[in-house]
Amino acid sequence: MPDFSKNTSSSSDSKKLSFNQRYQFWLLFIFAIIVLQIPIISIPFKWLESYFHEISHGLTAVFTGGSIVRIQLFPNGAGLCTTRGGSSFLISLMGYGGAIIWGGLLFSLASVHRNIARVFSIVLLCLLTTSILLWVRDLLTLFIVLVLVLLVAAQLRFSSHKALQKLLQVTGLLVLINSLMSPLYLLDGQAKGDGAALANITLIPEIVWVTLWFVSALFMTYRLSKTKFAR
Amino acid sequence: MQVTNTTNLAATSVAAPSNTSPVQAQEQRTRALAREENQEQKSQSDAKSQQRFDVNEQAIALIEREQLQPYNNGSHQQQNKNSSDFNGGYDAPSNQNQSAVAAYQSVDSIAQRDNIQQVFGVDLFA
Repeated sequence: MPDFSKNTSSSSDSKKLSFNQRYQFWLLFIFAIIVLQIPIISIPFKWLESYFHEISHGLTAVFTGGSIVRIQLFPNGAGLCTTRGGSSFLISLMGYGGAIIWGGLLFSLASVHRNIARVFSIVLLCLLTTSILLWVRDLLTLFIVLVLVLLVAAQLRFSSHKALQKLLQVTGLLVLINSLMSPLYLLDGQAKGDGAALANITLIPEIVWVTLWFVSALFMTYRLSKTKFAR
Repeated sequence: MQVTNTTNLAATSVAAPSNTSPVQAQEQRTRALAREENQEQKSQSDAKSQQRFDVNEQAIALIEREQLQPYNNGSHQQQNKNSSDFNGGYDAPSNQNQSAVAAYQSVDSIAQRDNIQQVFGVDLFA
């Protein structure tokens, strides 16, 4: 008599695996949202998003013929990038835009292969170290960037390859979720920040730019949800 | 019938001369309107020039203060000391950059910040 119970169990495992694979992105997404609600734990990830925002301003200035004078980060998640020269329009646009791209890149590259996740972590460490050497000029920013260096270094040093991959994926999602919400803070009626700067340059209202960033972050989230995960 | 509302000049000037000819009434109405427009334009231009003068005066005062006493106050000394400690002085930012950032952070007004950005030639992105 055939053993149906074994087949049933095997089929159940297969269904469970398929459920995990199918909804892996959204499970990680919900996990990232939960992490962002935890008071102390969420702080470094807000700093990371703020760092990506400011470094995107700075790198855009460099790529458009300008230079970075100074980068400042503040404990509440605010930041300031002082540049000289370059395209004001692109530099203003790429603050929030850059953070979205960094979040997406972090998640995508970590999802491709474990070794790529490791290489990207090393690249990120190099970027943070370069920032300290060249553009950080005050104690507070130095402390914040050092915390970020320790965060990435700890992920790299103490995680197995598979755990590192998952950690980077969650980190990418944390940056992306912060990027999704950050532009909405500009809708305070004070006409400050990148949205107001773009409105001054282009005469297109700030709300249009905020909507553009928000929709871009939503689109990136949608694209990432279609990612095929490497095992 | 006389209109007694004195706040509306145009209305009184039209309604009051009930015994004048239509041409005279038309002329008086035109003069009254022209006078009213002149007064409005004058008051608006006065207000604009006053505002622009205030902003420029404040910006100039700030810049003069930064140029005359660039590192006299405590925060600047502290900041300079910190950056020297960590960088050994070899790659410290130029005085012009430090002055720009310090002056920018010392004011909250967007108009004043714009002036400082133009004067020092740096851009700040938050």
